[in-house]
Amino acid sequence: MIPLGILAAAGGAVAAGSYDLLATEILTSSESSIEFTSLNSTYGADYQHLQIRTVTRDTRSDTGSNILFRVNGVTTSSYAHHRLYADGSTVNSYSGVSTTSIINGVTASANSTANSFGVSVIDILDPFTTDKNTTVRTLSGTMANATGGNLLVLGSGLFNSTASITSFSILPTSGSFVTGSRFSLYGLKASA
Amino acid sequence: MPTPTYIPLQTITLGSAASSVTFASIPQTYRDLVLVVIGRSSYTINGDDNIEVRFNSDSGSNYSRVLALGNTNGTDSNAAGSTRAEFGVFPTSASSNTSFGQVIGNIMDYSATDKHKTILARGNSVPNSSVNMNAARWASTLAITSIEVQTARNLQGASADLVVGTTLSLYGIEA
Repeated sequence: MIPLGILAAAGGAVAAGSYDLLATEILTSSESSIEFTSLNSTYGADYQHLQIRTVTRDTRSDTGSNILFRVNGVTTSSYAHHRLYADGSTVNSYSGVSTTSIINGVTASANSTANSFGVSVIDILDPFTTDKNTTVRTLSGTMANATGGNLLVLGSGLFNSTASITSFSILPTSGSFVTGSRFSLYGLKASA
Repeated sequence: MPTPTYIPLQTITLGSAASSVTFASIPQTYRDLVLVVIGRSSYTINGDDNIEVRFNSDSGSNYSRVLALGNTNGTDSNAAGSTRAEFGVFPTSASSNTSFGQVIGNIMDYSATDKHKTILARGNSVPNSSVNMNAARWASTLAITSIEVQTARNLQGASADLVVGTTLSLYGIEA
């Protein structure tokens, strides 16, 4: 089995049908959150890992913003995250524990250059097992404009629960994701 | 209904050194592209080179990037506009290095015509023990139909080819 993230780095050896597109949402109007549901019942028997690929812009009045991630509708202090990030000047890190969501990737926002979007590739590892807490890994970036607001993030997150994932939601920090934002869900099989 | 994807579109393995490699006539039937480059630059003066790309033969100042780099000297981040998109740090042949490095980049929504194209990439370079991550934007709403791959040193006018054995693979991902 080739772990997500290593899959692409391997540059091949991807058996036909081992990486599947499961669902895509391309917004035709602004939305305050995106949710994928019935994950365990629909995909739990066939897939070991999930990957989300997003292309997003939100309405928040800034040049770039964070994206939030929640699992199974849980809004209590059941998450943790840490990230290595760069802003074009320095490389920094920060972390949070007992948070009410995973602060995940970054997105372009209302003050970003027109037509620019932030992008994220998010790996959810072993989402359907019940013997370990679920972890998430993210590579994300947004190029806001010529004068700043450029953000690059390598992050990880924890859902402090062994529950199998039945749903997850992706939210902007505030406001809505704009028309044209894309959220695609993929599955990686454990065996052929 | 699940759809198998992550489809190999083309792999090029260099039988002789090349100053650039171009993927042309890229099909528009996918949403994202993944470009994987495994190889080395022939540059010998410094341990690090970079893989950089141009889309649709656009050599104008229409690219920008932000990067984070770590190596034995510490960490660095910078952002700049450019005439090409930076993909990732890549090893040179300095100090008789013969190891290959790898750069992998996601080109998101490459076939969309309602947004600029944004790249997420990672690279590594053996001689300086460098590793980086990178985001870049091509300020165009045109769909990407071709990708030209070169080393940064070559684009700067130095002798810096992709060496024999360098492999470049392009994959398509549906959405």
